[in-house]
Amino acid sequence: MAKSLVDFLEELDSNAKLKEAYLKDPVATASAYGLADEDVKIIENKDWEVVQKLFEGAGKSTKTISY
Amino acid sequence: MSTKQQGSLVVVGTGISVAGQMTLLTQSYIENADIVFMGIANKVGENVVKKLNPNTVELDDLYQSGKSRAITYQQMADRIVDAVKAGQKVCAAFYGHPGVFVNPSHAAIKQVQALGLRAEMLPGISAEDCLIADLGIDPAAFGCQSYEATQFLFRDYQLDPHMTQIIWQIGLAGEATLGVLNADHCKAGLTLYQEILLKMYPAEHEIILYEAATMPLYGPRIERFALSELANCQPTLISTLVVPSLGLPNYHQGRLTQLGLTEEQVISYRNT
Repeated sequence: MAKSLVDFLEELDSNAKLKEAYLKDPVATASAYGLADEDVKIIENKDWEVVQKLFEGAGKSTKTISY
Repeated sequence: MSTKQQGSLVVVGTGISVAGQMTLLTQSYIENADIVFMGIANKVGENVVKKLNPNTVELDDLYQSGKSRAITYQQMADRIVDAVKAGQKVCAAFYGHPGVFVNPSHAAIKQVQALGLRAEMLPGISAEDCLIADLGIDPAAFGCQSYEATQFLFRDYQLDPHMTQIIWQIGLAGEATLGVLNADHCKAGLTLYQEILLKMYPAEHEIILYEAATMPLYGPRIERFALSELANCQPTLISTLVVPSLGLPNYHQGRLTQLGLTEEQVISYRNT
């Protein structure tokens, strides 16, 4: 069973070896990690908007009120 | 005889990225809390917190388009404080540094302390920390003025072009209603900023639109362009505008004299 993109993101942000491997070859690293083909495709296409839509809520980030 | 546990609050920051910028102490407070409130705005980051402590409550559901953020933030603080009043060991986790550009964290701490209960904030990695690392800007090199975009426009502040300008929330520049959840209303604010800055910097002065990397898949957004293009740039809600310094100002001869020094002396000390 393929590993999840969420787990990959978490490990990529906390494992220096995985991070270095990803910087050298993002697609091969994602594939070797065990991501599903569609998730590897996102990385191959650098489709970051998809990632942001999946995981980020920019409108829900706290903004200070100071004026 | 059992004694009822007194409620307490520790506010922590999870960093700008999804997992790797949390301190060891922050992780431990999350793990050991009775309940964790999350203002993280990032599903991966939330997942990291949930793995540390499954008893979590999101605060994001309080955001609504058209609703003033002032009300939203008061409701967030109330939700946190109510749990403390109920005697729980509460951890409130916000992304970035929990005390930098975050209203409800400070409000909750003040309310809990006013009740005579323990409340503490731990530092986290803020967008400013990421900016310094990504842009290679040392705030000590020229001094630094760091401020919120709308506050500067509305109030009678003075800008010093010899200092690095770091202008936060540029995607909300001039937005007064507090009810928008996108960066589509900042054109007038950007135009005004361009006008203000052009009185102090040359039109070709390079400025930077910056966004820290929120995902480890990609790097930060760093767009460099001339000041004359500012009104046409496209910031998002997490964009920051950086205006590099014009360079160090001249020495202040009067202050040097008061300190018993001369310009030649201090230059000599610097160079040895």
